[in-house]
Amino acid sequence: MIREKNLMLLHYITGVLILVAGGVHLSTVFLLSPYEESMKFDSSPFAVMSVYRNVLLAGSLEALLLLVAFHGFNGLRVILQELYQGKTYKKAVSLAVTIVALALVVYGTRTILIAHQLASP
Amino acid sequence: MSLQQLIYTLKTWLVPFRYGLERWSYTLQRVSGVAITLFFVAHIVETGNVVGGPAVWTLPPYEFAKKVWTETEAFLANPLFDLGLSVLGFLIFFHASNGVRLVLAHFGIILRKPTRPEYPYRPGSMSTAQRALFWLTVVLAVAALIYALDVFFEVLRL
Amino acid sequence: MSEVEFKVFRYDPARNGGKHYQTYKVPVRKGMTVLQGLLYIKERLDPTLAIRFSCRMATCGSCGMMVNGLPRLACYTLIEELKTRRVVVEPLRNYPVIRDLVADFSEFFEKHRWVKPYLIRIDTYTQEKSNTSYLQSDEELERYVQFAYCIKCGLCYAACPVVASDKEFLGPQALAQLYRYLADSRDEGAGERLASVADGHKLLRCHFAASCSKVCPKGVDPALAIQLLRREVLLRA
Repeated sequence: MIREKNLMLLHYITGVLILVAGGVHLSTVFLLSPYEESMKFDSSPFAVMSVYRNVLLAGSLEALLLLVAFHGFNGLRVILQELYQGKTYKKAVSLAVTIVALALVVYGTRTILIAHQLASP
Repeated sequence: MSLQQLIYTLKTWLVPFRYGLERWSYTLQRVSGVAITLFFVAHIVETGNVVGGPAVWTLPPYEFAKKVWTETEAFLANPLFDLGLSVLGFLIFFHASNGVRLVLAHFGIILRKPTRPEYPYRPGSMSTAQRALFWLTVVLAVAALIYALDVFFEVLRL
Repeated sequence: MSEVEFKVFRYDPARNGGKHYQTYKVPVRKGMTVLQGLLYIKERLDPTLAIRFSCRMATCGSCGMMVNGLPRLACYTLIEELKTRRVVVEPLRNYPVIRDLVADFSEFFEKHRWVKPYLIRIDTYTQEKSNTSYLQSDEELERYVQFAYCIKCGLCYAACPVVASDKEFLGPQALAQLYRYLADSRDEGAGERLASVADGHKLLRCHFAASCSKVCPKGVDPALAIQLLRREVLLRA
């Protein structure tokens, strides 16, 4: 389907972009506010709901979701396809990995959208 | 594929002794990648639960989400989970920093140019730049581990 | 004259098919190699031992075997450098075993043939009939000559963690040869060479574990060739 070399380029690109989006996520939880404050539901500037309320931060979480889903499950696909090389096994692994990744992306996007709505009445 | 072959493969992948630094990088990058992906799945499921689980696709009441969050926090207040998150911090920083090193190495940027081989051989792929980045990766990962242990267990009170 | 114990892997599918180890006591002189120890066993102790060897000076690539857990050339390994009184000799890993210490290299050579290890010119008539030479500067030579030193000993295959499980991966030797011809200024087949490895497991399953370069007895550094090849494939193919 997609040439392996293009998948590999995407793997590198998503990896680098995760550095940015992941950096933002880790900063909001650990750096920009003490951990106890970040773990509160809504009572501090970087609490859970406060992050979802902010469109930019929620957007960066969505980006992180998409990037990590692709990068992680592509990695799993590479590892699984190295264990055995058969035509049906290869197709089964690609399909399974894609389905699980898509399911997680859909579920995670639902979470972000609902949380954003919940946080901004 | 027989069980014997599978065990042989896993032993080769997971036992990186006697083949140099880069073999350690290969093993740890794989292990950390799988661990992070599994954590990612757990994290999406856990945060998704707060707004009502896979059955809920409409807005739940605010107080319901707050209640689930408080319950989740109580569940996660376990020191075992805190230790797990610290180890995960190590793995994430290792994987990210080693990943940057690998991208540079895969494009040949931090490797030496090919030369005529003169004994004792100094392989250009095992360049000082590439190995220094590996040690930097280890330093960053350990620093992340220490920072995480401090956040969760207040070891150093930074 | 001190003595060393050789623990040698034995396997004869034609006789009884059992894999086992046999120990022999071998007297050792200073400067003696593992190959000399094995030949002593073959000449004085057990003529049924099957081994491959030829030049005994690390240039033919025949005597690759696992010596104390690492792939080495038997003729190039001094018993003294192993720093132990027990030498464990097994056939090369990741290859099917024909008998005792002899490994089956047919897949290895097939992968080497697959990468077209010869110069590809657009005008094949000139290549075969003409009596002019292709000129090449020193700089152009330096770009690939390191990878031309390969003696096809196969130690890199034994060390590579990907070859251990992935049958479609071409392996360090074949990929290094692919790059050797790609980087050769006399070669005009770059397009087809790059396209042949741009998809599938052939090249892109290398994860730079560099075990191949660690064990290469001629300093060929296949890991470097593969990364340079990967760069060409990712940016050009």
